Amino acid sequence: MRADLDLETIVSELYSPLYRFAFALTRNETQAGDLTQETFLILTRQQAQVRDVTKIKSWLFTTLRREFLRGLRSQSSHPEVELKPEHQDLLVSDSAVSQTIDAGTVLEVLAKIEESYRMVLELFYLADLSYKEIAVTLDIPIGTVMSRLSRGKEQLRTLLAKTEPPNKNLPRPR
Amino acid sequence: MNSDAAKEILSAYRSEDRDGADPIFREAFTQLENDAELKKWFEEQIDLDRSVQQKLAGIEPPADLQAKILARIRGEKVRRSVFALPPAWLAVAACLVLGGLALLYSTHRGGPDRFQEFKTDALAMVLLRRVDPSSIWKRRT
Repeated sequence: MRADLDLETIVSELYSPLYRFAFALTRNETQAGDLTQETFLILTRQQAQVRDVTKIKSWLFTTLRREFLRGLRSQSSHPEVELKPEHQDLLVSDSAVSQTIDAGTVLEVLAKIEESYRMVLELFYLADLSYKEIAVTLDIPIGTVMSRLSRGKEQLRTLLAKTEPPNKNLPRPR
Repeated sequence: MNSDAAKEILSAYRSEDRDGADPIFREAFTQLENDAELKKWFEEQIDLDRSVQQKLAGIEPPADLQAKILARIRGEKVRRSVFALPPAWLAVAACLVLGGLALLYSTHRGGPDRFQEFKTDALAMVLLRRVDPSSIWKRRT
């Protein structure tokens, strides 16, 4: 029997990682906030359909990603409002840049990684999902998650080593 | 398990408190004890993860985001509760309204037919104007 969802507790525990994930996808503070709000609103409307409370986290990240992709499709069907990557960067507010200058560097590096690897890395680092939860969220086999995490981290390490000044304490690529 | 297979599995490891109980990592950890190079690789991997996570944790949500989300959730709950009346209540309410209308209609029919009275009076007035009053008098007498 499904216990009733304590939405307020779920919000307080998960709104920050969801926002970070949304920010990594949109690179825009306002859009990330809207996407996070929309995701929780969908949970409120569809909570009766959530059968397993332990999978709420994966469900939320899956929903957020789906909403982001829906928004992208909607933008591409309206080319006059299409946002190109360089324009998206300009939309990041000053406050977001100053707050996330280091995070911004990591996000820039992540953006250079092949999408199939990047998605897995973002869920691992930003959402703190386990490999099993990532598999559910992206609907891919567990073995694929592990393989993409491994290769994605290799790419990340190499790219960060090129970006970071040598005195930073990131491990060097081998 | 060879070194590459162990690396792939260990890439998915987060921390002892979250993944320590997962049996999939146990064999890979055993491999670590016997492979110095793999152990060094894993330590660097953990450093990378920690460093990246620390930096990404710098992405702070807007200060009012949580309050906004909670307000929208409460609004949605209220909106839903208004439209989500149980079917029994709806049935009772519908019966009461229909019963009231039926009662009103039957009472109305059973009472004096005011429209009919009005029609008769109106016709009488028109006829009185067109007919010679003396003929009415004669008719009545």
